Amino acid sequence: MRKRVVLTALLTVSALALVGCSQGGSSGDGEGGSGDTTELVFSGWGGLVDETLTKTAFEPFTEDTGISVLLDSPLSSAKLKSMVESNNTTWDLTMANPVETTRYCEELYEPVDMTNINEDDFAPGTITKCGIPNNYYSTAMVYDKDVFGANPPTTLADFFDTEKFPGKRLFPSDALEFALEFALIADGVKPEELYPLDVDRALAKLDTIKSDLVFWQLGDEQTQPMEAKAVTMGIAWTGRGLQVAQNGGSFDVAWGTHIIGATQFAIPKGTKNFDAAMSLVEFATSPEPQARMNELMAYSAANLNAKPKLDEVQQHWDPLVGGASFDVAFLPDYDYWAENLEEIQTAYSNWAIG
Amino acid sequence: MNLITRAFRSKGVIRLLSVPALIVVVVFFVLPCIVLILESFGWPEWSFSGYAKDLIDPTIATVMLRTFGISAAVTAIALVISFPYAYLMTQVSARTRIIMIAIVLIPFWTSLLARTFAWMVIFQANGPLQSLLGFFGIQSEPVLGTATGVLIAMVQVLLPFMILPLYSSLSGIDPNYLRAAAALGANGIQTFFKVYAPLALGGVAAGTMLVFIMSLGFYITPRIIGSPQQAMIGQIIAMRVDKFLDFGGAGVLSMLLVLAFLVTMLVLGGIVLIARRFKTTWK
Amino acid sequence: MKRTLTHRLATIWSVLVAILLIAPILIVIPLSFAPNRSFQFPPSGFSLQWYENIFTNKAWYSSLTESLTVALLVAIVSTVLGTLAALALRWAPRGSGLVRGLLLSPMVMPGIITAVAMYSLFLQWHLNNTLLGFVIGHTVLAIPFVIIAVEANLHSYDRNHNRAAATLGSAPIPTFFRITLPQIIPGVLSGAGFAFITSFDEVVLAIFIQGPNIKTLPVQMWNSVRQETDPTMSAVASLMVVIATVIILLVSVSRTKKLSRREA
Repeated sequence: MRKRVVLTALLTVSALALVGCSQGGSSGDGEGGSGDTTELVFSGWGGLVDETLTKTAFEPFTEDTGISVLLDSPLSSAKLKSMVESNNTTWDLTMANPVETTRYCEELYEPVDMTNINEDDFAPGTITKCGIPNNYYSTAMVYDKDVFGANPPTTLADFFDTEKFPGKRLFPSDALEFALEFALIADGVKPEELYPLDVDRALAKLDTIKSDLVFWQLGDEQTQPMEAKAVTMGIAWTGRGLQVAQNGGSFDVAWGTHIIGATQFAIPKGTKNFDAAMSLVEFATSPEPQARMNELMAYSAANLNAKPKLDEVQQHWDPLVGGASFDVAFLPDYDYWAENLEEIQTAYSNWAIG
Repeated sequence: MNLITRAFRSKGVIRLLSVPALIVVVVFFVLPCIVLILESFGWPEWSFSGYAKDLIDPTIATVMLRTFGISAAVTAIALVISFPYAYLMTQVSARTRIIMIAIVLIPFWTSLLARTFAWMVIFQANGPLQSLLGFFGIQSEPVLGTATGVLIAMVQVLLPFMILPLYSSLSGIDPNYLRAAAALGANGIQTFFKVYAPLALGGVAAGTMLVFIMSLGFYITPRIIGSPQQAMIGQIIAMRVDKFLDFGGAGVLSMLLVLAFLVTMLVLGGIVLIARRFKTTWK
Repeated sequence: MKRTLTHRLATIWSVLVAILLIAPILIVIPLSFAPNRSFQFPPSGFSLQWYENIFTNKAWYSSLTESLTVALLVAIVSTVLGTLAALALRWAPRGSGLVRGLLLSPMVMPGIITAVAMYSLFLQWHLNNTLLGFVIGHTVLAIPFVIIAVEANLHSYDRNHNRAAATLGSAPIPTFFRITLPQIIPGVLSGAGFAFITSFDEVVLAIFIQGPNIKTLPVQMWNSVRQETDPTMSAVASLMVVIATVIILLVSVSRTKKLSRREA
């Protein structure tokens, strides 16, 4: 029994000592910043995107400049907000959606420095005051060739035609993946007349096929049902469709039904390393690293001068190469979205949840 | 020494034993929550508009009811599943008991994320479950994204939290009481309800509370296994924080959740009290 | 006769419960040998690349060791604090309602709220991204579980033992270690287990207070399952299952052996 007492005491003491040490070790935290930048903290979405950016942009950047890039993923807007509000920004660079950089420009993000960036290198409308695009992605109608090969769906109206094209359908559970836009186009609204969004009309249209929808929120929730043939069609990221195709799946994309979106680099407000973060953005969005990123990931290079070497399947699924261009795709209205973000997302999620 | 001894026997000093834990919880939990509550009232101003809006919002009401419904179902199923198991643990030989404890501890020590992930795989289209059912000639839809899936996964994830406190309390019941009851002529059912169940109540209460409360705040499992139609209140709170950076609105919902929980407990407590009163009068 | 029937039914039932507890988590093991980035079941081939990834990929490896450190410290600190509090609540119950309410309150808060609330204050106190911050945050979450576990045991503990010991001249602290603790040790241990697992499993708060210096395993797993099909997740899950099983079996075997020795 005595042994046990001694053991407990020892454990407690060692626990306290360890805690004490950690406190001592971290006391230097948050003080640096007066001298030259030697380290940047990047917060991304994690996973493959982080891995690829590390290989194609961060490591070469460190070699060139001696500035190392620390990864602090996953990013969270809530976390960013707390940091900024308490004047304690520990991120120097983050990924963002153009809607977010528009909505929270100067509130959470620093305006970008355009001195060394050529606006014409990027697709029109994808540079915002607080964000520079890293890549383009596309959300489009995909369908199972094995099921509809002879007579494939070609328009978004077909997506809502459950008699001609029966089966379960993938559909985004977040309005920011442009769920309402797809419904309105299918209902006959012209792309240039989409905004302001007629939420009620879109939801009424979606109601007609609600019982056939399989909602996705996470990236994997798109690939798995396609690979398992649990759905016959869907509104999904083309990057995920490519992944399915590369794994031997039978899905194809109906170009012309797609919306093109951009993901951006943004610099959190209050960073002590703005200049270094800006040079990292300039480097990461230059043609060379952009091309390599495009080759490794199913997303198009944002810099239109990038010349990625893509194989046939990659080309077919690439929103900028595969028979598609900005002429037929529609681009979301980021300003409208930024102004009405809460309202639309709440209305849509209430519809989905109810 | 004598002084210390006497001091330790007084209630006042014993009460002091809770002070260290109290300091940690108050400083690092209660204080942050108070700040959040203030924010839910629009601090530094003072307004009830957040509460007024959510209280009349039919979606919030639906999700709140669903959250309580799912949690109650999970708790009830877990209790029914666990009780015979925990009971058997007290009846078998020490060797069998060790195996039975091991079977509970293996999932218990495997992370919640890993187990939820396992269910995601099992329930997915053309996954093991569909294949198994197909093997028996049963055609079925994938369970991923349905209420059934959420329920099964939550029960399995929370089962150890029910079994362990149950067993810990059942094992403390002196079998002599049961023998005494039998010797006094009580039959099995009488013994169970009159002697065993009251003695087991501590463990039942602990396990039930634990599982119910954990279910109320569940967020990861319904998010991964369910579809939006199974969204629980934790997901709405997360959405407000993650997407809208609306800390005040998140505070409002969590206050409502806590209040709804307290009301439920009060009502249940009231029912128990009334029932007890009736029993005594009846006798 | 009746008792054997109850016994038999309970046995059949318990076998089913055991299957429900164990079978689902075994499914991740074949999945971890997937040859490509896919959760297809059964996998279309065999490879060990995802296991290699756990130990060669710094993110996975360091998150594993950091999680273990945090969980161990949390188990020790919160078991000590929680057991003391449980004794106070049990033995001096009058007027302890508020204290109990406060101590158990971290349980009734949805994780996401606790996370948001703690995060903003931790930021001002420079506790985010530190081991200390993790230990404090998780200790707060773990204390209620320790209290509940210990109290459930104290429920059937007879305080006359203490009075008897005192009459025989034993001082309170030795009495606690010699008389009380051995009797409530199942509760204390199960409390410590709850505390460890609460910390080791905790993901929501961890996502907020993590940083480049410290990132626990659940953060890494959530990161992985949320974004990309990454079978490293299956490999980590499989390793957890195997390690948990091995440790528990070892403990069980040693206990069984002790048992046989006692019988012999």
